Amino acid sequence: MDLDDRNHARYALAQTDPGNEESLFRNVVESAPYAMLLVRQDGTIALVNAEAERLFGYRREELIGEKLEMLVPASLRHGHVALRDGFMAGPLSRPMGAGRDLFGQRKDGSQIPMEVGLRPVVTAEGPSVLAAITDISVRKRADAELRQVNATLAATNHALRRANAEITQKNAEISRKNEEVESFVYIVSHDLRAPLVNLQGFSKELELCCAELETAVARLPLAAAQTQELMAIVRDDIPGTLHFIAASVGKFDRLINALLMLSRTGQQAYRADPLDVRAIAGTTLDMMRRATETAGAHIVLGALPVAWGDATAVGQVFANLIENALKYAHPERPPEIEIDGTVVGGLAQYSVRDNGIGIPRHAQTRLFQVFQRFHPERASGDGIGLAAIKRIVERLGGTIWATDAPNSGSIFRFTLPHHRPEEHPPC
Amino acid sequence: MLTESEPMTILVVDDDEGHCELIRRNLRRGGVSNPVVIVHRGDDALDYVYGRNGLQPAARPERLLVLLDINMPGRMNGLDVLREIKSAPATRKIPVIMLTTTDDPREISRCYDLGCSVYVTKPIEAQGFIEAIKRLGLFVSIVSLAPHQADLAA
Repeated sequence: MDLDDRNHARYALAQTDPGNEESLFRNVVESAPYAMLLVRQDGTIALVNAEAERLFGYRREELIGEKLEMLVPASLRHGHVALRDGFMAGPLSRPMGAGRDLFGQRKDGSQIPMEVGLRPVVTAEGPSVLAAITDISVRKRADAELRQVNATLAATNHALRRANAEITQKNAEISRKNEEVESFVYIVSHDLRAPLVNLQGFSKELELCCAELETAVARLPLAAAQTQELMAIVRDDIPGTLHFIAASVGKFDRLINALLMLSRTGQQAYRADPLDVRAIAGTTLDMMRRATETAGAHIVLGALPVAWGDATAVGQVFANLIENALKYAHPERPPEIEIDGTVVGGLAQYSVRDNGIGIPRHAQTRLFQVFQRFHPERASGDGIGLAAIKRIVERLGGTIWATDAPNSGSIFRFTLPHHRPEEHPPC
Repeated sequence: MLTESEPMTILVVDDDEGHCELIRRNLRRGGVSNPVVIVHRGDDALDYVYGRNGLQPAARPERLLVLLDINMPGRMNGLDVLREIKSAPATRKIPVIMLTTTDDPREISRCYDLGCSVYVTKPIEAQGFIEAIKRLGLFVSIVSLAPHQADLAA
């Protein structure tokens, strides 16, 4: 209703009973948008409006003439009488129940939270109080819900913060552990090398001594049988023994080298560049052309999604996987290697599939561990390639795994960040 | 061929006695007949170079060549010794050949940063030493080929 309409209504009212202010008052009360009660000094209800009927669930004839306390929850009625008397003794316009939650009681016994404004009025029947009542149950409910939501938020926030702190701590622990492992590997590699140098060096000394001994024996004036006996020792037994020592030392040396390489893989600083991974794979294939052609390999390079990372490192990953595919080719068919890629869940995913001898079932879980070799008869190696590759991929922010290819052979898949890594990870 | 003045002294600094013995033998085998002094700790090496703690001062610094192991236990490792030698004006010009068990590129570059002259990776063989010494331009002043070595070389 706009102002004009309201004015019109008032005029209409005034016209219905001109000069009758009582009637005007009743009409105003009746049309108020909230519940109103007129209460006599003794607490009887003299007037109610439609909103009050609706709010309390009584018809007005059930209310008028009754004590106001019928609308007060039973437990509060006694106290309310005293409060009402107190107000009547010195009535002032004011909101009721400052600092307390007020409740009314409906006919059906349910209670309503409410706000009440009190205004003393003088009527023909004597001093009375006009009470304006607002149902605040919706607001209360909203408040309660808001409080609940706030509490939930606070709890979630707290949990998040705790989880975050835990992650930070775990990360610190992991990087400390990593550092420990790196320096352990580094130290072990150095310290293992030292005795090895002696084994190698003194074996060489023995070899040289044997040569001298042989010359000396040849000069000795001995019987042929004796010479032959000595020569057998000097030419065969000792060098044969040295051969085994040298082979073992050589193997030991390679393993230490591999360990060192692995430890360096963990330490190198990687770049975070946008990468044309297809170009990187292509370059890697070019560099390996000789090996792939010798093996008679047929290679298919598909479309590869771009990624973020370190070009050299990614090249190493491809080189290693391709090398593996050649190494473990099936003896009865030329190697076929298929390099492909796609984007899955915001990660660039690459696959290198071969038709080789595949991965033995028992090897699956240990495939990426250090010093694991599953086909020692097939190819020489230190059992370190895949372990190093796994480290590289993980340091670039990806993962690597392997599965059997449907028709024998294996598929290695690894992921890399497809989007620019955030400089400050969200916390 | 010995030079007319006092021969260069070779100071070998390595905590591993086996390595020291191999170095000594390989130097001889390579035809290096200069005096060889062997110490096993970084501190001892500096004491020798500076003539401290009752050790006779070495030959004049310019008549000294140091073969220095990087990884040594104790207060001074090879890098510390190298740093010290290269920071003192009196000893800065002493040629230092670093010996290590690793070919770690970062370690190599650290040695060169500190001013080492050459870097030899163990296992060390006569040939490696001769190469290193040649690269230092000291071949003539320290290497004298024994007759049978000359025969072998021919």
